[in-house]
Amino acid sequence: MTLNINAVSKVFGGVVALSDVSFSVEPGAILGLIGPNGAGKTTLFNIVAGVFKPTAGSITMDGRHLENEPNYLRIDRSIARTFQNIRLFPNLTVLQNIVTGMHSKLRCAMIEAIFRTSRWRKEERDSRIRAMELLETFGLAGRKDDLARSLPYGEQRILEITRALVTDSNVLLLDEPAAGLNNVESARLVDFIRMIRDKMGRTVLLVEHDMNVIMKVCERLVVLDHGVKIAEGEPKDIQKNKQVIEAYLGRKFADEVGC
Amino acid sequence: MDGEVKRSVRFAVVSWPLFVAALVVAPVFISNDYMLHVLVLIGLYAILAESLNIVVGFTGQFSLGHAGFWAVGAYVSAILMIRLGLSFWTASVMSMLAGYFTGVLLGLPAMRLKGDYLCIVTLGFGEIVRIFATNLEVTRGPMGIPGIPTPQIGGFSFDSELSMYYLCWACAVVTMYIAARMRHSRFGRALMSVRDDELAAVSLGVNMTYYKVQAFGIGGMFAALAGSLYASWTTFISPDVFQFSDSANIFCMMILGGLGTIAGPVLGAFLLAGLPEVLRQFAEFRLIVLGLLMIILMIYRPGGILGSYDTAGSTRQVRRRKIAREV
Repeated sequence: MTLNINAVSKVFGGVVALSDVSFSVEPGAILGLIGPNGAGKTTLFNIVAGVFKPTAGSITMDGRHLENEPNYLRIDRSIARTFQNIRLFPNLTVLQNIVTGMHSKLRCAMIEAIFRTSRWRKEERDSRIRAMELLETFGLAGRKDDLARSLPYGEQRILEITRALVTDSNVLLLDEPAAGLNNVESARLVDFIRMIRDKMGRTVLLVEHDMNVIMKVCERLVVLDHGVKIAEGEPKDIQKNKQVIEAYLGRKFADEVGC
Repeated sequence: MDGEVKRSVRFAVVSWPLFVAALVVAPVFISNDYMLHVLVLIGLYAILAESLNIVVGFTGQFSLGHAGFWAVGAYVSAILMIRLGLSFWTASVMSMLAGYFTGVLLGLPAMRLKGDYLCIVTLGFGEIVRIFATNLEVTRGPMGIPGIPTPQIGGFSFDSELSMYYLCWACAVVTMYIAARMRHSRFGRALMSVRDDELAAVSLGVNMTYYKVQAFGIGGMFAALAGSLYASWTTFISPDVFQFSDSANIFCMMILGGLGTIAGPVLGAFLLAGLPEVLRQFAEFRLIVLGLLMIILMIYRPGGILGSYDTAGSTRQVRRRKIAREV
């Protein structure tokens, strides 16, 4: 499942947020999208996630065009996401949050729940078992009956990622997953992201500010600045890239470093 | 099965039969028709508050026009029975369908709105229905429709307060039960996810538009059922029965009892439809007392009487668990 971003541009009124950005996310990759503030990372992320439609260009998944599809169909195209400012269902329990994540996979109509048909019982039981498996994996099983809003911040983050995973989407979009996490929590996050790829075989695209996390977990980086892709490559090459250093620290500094 | 479900199942196994048994036995102790009359009214309000709860409590869509659906149900049922001579049963099913489609129709423009704007649109809806009823010929305008037949089954006619008591409360219990089951279904979870976070719900594949519209439809459907029962119970309806104050009253019942809970709206119906009758000797002070009660409740229990149960319950659990860990 290759996700392609082809010559995507996005204009908000007179502001060009993205111009002509292209790259592809290969299956099994952990790709990081970085750039200084206002570079257009979040805009691009939202276009991939279906919140915005691109002004020009296209998003394709295995050749299928996604840019004009409604937002809620992204799950059916195997793309799941998390949010920068965690968006859980605060008044539902941890377990209910996960089971709600299975929305696109469950089939029973409401009428079956009213009459408690055997198909409904089986579906509920299976989804509960599946949810508990994932919660075990991520160390949240003991919290299953707590309301999502009562969890500490770090666990809310993990819960949100778990909820995206339970959709069984191949591509996982993580919007600043390390934002607001302390060092211990972000180290745990790095392990989880690796595990998601290595053990579960998912593809990960993440936007992130925390360079520690980026350098530890990403195998490939795409760098944006002022809506333009200025570099793409492995983290160690990106670290030495003159244009990237310029974008982050200014030309003077880039010259001093002597790239 | 996990703890939460076990606990709620255990609670349900005890509480439902108890509640139903109490309803069945109650008339044995209540012999006068006046008390039964009040109980029928409470039952109808219970259906209305419970159906509004599906829209507001489950889906988070504020609606101040619920009396509009009530009116639609009452008028459709009354007109079908009188003009076409349909039986109450057919007419009430048809009126539920009408309520559903009216709900969908209201849901379509309302789904793009939130908060105050949605309140105003739904408020307008309630008024529109009332004004239609006042001005249409088929509804006989302000004169209203008299002589609406009572429900009949075989040779039995539901013309006594006692029989209507059982019929209305049977419908109320069914409505409660459906609302309760809904929460354990894919459908109900989708509604609640839309309530809690629209963007997150959409990102998980929940078609928000569909669920918002459906919530209005289902809410309208059960409110129409209450309307249909009401029409046959009082045998007379007119536009001034379905005022904005009724919409507000139904809303208050739901908030007071506990938004998003199953028993809450019914408890609210008991309090807000029952208390005025109990306080009848203080007629002048009745509204002041009710208003004060509302204010005090909203300050100390903003989630409603039963509404805080969920949150309070779970924090209490957490606290208990913490204590257990420390010990």
